[in-house]
Amino acid sequence: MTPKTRRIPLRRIVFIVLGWLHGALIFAPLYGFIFPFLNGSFSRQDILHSQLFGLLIVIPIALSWLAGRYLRGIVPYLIACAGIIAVTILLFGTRLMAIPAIVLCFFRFYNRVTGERHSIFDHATYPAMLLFLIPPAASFFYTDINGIYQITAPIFAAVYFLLCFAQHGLGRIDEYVAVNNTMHNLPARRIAQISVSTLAAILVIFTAILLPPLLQNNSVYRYEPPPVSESAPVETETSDNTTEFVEQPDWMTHMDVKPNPVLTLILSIIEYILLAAVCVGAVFGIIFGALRLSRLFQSSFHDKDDLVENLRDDHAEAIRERRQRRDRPGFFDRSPNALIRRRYRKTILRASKQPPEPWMSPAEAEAHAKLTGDSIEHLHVLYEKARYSADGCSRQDIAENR
Amino acid sequence: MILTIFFLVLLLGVVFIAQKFLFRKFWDKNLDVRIEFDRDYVFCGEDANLLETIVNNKYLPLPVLEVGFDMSRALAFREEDNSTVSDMTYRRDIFTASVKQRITRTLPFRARKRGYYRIASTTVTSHDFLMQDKLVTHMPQTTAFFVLPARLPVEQIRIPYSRIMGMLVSRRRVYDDPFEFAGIRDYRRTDPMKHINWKASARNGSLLVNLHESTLSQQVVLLLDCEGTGSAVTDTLNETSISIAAALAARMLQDGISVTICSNGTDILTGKPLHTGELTGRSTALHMRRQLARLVCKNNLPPMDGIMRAELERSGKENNLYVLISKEQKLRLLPTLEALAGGHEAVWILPEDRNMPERHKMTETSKHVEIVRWMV
Repeated sequence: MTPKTRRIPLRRIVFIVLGWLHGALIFAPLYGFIFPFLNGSFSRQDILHSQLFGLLIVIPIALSWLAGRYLRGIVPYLIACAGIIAVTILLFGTRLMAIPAIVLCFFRFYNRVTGERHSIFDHATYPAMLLFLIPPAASFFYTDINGIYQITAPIFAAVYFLLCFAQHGLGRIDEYVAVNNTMHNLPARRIAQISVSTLAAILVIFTAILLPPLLQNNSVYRYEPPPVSESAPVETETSDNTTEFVEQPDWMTHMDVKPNPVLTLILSIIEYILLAAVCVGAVFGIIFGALRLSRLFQSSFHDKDDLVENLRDDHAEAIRERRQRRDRPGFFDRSPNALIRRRYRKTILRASKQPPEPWMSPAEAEAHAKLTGDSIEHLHVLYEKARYSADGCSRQDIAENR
Repeated sequence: MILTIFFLVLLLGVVFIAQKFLFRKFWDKNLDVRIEFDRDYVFCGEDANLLETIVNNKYLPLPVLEVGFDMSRALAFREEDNSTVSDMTYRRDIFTASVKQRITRTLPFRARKRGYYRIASTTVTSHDFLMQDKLVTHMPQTTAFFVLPARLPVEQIRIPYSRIMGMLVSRRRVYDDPFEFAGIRDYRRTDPMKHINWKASARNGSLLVNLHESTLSQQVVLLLDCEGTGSAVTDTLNETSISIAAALAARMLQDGISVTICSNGTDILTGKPLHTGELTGRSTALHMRRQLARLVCKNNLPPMDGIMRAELERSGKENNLYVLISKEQKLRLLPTLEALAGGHEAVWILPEDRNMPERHKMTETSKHVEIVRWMV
């Protein structure tokens, strides 16, 4: 008899891999920031290359995770750690990379000894996004540092945010399924399918919102200390303009006028919103299409003890009756009928402590409000005439009732 | 750039809040949760199914849907993993519903005790797309279920039934039914004057009398004692009494005998002591069983003595056959039953515990009342 092996769900594997990537995403921009100082090359291309190269830290992170998980004895673990350090040095080509590898292996070991299950190495956190501010902030204040950090850091931050969002979402789904795992007939597979699908749809929308404008961004800002005297350069500028001024025809001046920056911004925002809406629509369209297509092949199926039936669009389901719309005169309706009905309603509501029930007839509503006398009788007649008769009330009726 | 990032963060926030708002607003729209039994009734001890049906008739998936309801613990689920049993059975089941889907779950259970059971409402809980927020709503239900009195073995019920039938046969009396005309014959000196058909006599020239069909009065009144609850023995004896009443009444209805059941036990719906009225025909057997299913046995019920006296005042008929089903061994019900029978024979079916000491058993006997002991 072979022992039954427990299958690890795919979402769990994705969760673990996202944990590895979270460490790599934090490390890569920082490595890209420190690397030029070590290497002495501050070119844009080298920095970009080093940032992407820094993502390779995911390999030692993954290896250390696997070693911590599957190696029970301390000696095999230490040997594996030596191997991981060697691999890290080989990958990055510098002995200095032994330091993060040693830190990684040490904390993995420490976490294992203390029984820490929620290691920061494997769980992305939103506050960690503050680390992405370091390189762009440095490049903002120091002109010696390349401005490329201001372009790449928001992209890394956005990707990290998406990763964090995905991992937290998967974690919550996993936690819910784990907590209720002992329940009979728990449709864990379908819960995961539906919730992971919706999470994925939200992620796609977030990606469509975040990444396109960040990938197109090329602006770099530098901190410039305030000049000692402000008037001098202005004067020179104006003098330059006057000397080089050449009169142009009217039509050319119209061509040279720069568009209003506010208008440009508004237009670009509108364009962006439209694109985002199209993208969201496309996501939903694809989901809807896939759903319709899948339902062509399968109208019902059994999942454990559940019978799951897909409803057709034209399927008339006995859903709870919708609340009936009240037959009241409209707000702008000033016809005699509407006036009489409004007057009757006000009289009843004023007289009764609690409003009458919707099922009450006019006579019952009057009894409920304890209204008697000739005036209410007359109003009652007019109300019934306004409500039920074919002719309805006239202006004269209203005048008589005053 | 800072403006762009600010705008992006704002847009993300708007999308995030919008998805939360949309889910919160629409999650329970076109959502129906029904809890139903797969049949109207079962006999005590039999199995049935409870059907949980979820209909999500909209284009919004519900990642998780928890359905909770409470039900009497006398209906025992086969799988009790999702139930907490204390004074009631509190059940919580988890579903998930994709867009435009209906999910039906069947929960088998066993009816352990006679009764009338209802499920009044369900609590439906859902979690949003990101499993962050919990949303709760209550949905009313109108599910009712009868657990009819337990079936008794045929050979066991045959003994009291044959005695009752024997008494009925011996007490048969013929009554003329003035509305059922059978024919006409010559007058005899013993015929009453009111039977003379004067028109026919005038035409014939000699006295003729009408012949009428006879009616056979075969009404049986079952007097059922439901006093007492709390101990296992009392409950068992009460349930046996009700089962005996149901079995006897059903057989008599099948044989064309009218039956009336009177009890000091109260109807769970009306709160009044049970009085079925005169039941006739086999089609009323289920109605009778349902009424017995709704019967509640409890302490401090009106004494059976009083019920019998009230019956004596109400009926006034001397042709009824009275059958008392009572476990009461101490109270002196015998004289009242004799008085109610009015000099005719009556039957007392006495369910008693097999382990009851002899000294506690009733020793009285009666000339007119036949006591049938029913060991439980």
